[in-house]
Amino acid sequence: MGDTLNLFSLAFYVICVFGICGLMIGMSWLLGGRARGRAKEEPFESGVVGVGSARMRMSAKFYLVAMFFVIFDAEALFLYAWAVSVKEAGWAGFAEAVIFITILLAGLVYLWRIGALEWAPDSRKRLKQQQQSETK
Amino acid sequence: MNFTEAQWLALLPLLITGASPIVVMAAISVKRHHWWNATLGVSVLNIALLVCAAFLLGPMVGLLPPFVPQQITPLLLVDGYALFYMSLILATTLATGTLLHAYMEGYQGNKEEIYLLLTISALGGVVMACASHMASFFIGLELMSVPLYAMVAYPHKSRISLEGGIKYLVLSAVASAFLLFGMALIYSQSGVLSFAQLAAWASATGGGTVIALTGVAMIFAGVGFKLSVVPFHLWTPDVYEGAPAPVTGFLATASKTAVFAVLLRFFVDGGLYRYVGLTDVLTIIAIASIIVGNVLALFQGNIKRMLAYSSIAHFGYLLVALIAGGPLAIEAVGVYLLTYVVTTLSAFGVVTLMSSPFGERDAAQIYDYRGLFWRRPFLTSILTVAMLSLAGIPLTAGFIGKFYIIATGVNQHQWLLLAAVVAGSAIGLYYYLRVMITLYLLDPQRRRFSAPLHWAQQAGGVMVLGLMLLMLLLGIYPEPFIQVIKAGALSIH
Repeated sequence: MGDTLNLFSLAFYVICVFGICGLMIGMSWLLGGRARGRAKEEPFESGVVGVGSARMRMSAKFYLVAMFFVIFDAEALFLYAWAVSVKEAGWAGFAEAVIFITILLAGLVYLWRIGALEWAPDSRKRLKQQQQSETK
Repeated sequence: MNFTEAQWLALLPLLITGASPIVVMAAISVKRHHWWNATLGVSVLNIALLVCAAFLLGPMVGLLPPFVPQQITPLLLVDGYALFYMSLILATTLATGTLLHAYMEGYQGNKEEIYLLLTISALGGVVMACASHMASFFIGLELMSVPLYAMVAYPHKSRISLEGGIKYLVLSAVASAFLLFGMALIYSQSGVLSFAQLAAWASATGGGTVIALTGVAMIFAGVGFKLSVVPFHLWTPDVYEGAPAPVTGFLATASKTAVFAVLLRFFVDGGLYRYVGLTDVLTIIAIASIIVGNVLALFQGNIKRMLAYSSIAHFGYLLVALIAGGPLAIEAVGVYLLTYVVTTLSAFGVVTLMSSPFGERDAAQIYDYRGLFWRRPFLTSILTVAMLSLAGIPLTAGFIGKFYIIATGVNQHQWLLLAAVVAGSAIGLYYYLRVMITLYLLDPQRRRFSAPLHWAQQAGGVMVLGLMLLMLLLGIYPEPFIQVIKAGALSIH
């Protein structure tokens, strides 16, 4: 008995969902005003003509920043876990945290040295010239 | 958790390997210099290899007390088996490092980062060799595969390398998805993740449940992608062709060895032979791999693609030992992997040295090798021995490996599999020998001259020569190597 009741309520729910959707679209079709124009039939922004192409070239530095953030942020999360249990973890935990931070630091030094932290166009250009003169 | 001294000692190879990427990273930040950075990274790995070898060989010559297997957390088990495969993976990585050094000399752009990727990948392999738990199995696999995407696509200006890199990325993602889902299915039934507990569960329930069997099948599908056995092999030729030659060598040897090592441990320690029907499926996979790999290798004009198909066939042979089981199986897999790694590395070593320094494309077409004997007799002799060994001709390493596989099959009366091995070997002879004939053809268009020998003075040349001698030694006097492999065998419960 309970199953049938559940099925009925589900069916009622589905009918209501479709009913509301149909009601909203139908009412606006019946009552809404009509305006016609050159660009008004376009689905995008209905009438506002776009300027330029969507295929712009973005500087990839933003991805770099986002990636660094994710990496170092996720690493920092582990330190939170250690921070709440400093006393229980004891000296062994401290040693492990030091090793962990040292590895992170080595990564940071590496990123700095290969110039991944130079985001301004000028300093990148200088870095490139410097590298080219080194390889020659 | 506090480790005992013995546990720290057993963990030493893993810790040293883990330190190597940090050392390379620090070296690059101090001063970017190809030879110096590469040497530093390789020497750290050398220390790890020496420690492994000391643990493995020390008791045999009576210098050290016998190595006691150490369970380090539920995740890692360092025993003789792990030590043997760790040594094999580290030695392969070192060989790849020397080849990379010769190869990358001509690369325009940052050469040094590839050693960073190589050492991280080696760490993943070492973790897999010790894995005794699903978690360490998966972590090791990912740690090894993720740097490999970048290594395959390292010459990122070349279209074919990028294509290979993307293909390997997509394939690995699919394989990992299969693997994880399979693990989840097994966990949903058994509630345990360590191999030993899984074996206990399988024997308690008398062969698991259907859902657990599905999980095991999905794990085999994931691993099958990595080992490129038929029907999961479609990526192999394209990725092998696109990757730089030394990376292809690494992909074909170290990565596959590590995956097979963990698979074998999973199979034996995890009690997978209790699952009914699994061996039947594996039998079909093995036969298909042997036949498809060998037949498709016949049609290749590119030596890297040919070696890709031949590696598919070789892993079909290896599966024969896994399926047959019995007391000889673990030893047979060890011997076969050792001979396969030595042979394949030297074949890719020759391709690398022919293509070094890095240029427009790798010298991978078979016509690049036409009449090579009249220009580079030493390199030709190495490739000749490698081809004979791949074909399994006596007096070379490949014969010993194949002999072991067939002996295992005969012991367990697996006649169908043995028929496939024999048929596959017969087909294999044809295309291996075809390469050899090309090497000695007189090419009227090219002058006869002996190329300068300076390649032999480089680390890569010395390494390839050493590999050739090792191939012959393994074929003529394999006894000491078999003793080492016996020391590194798994105990069958």
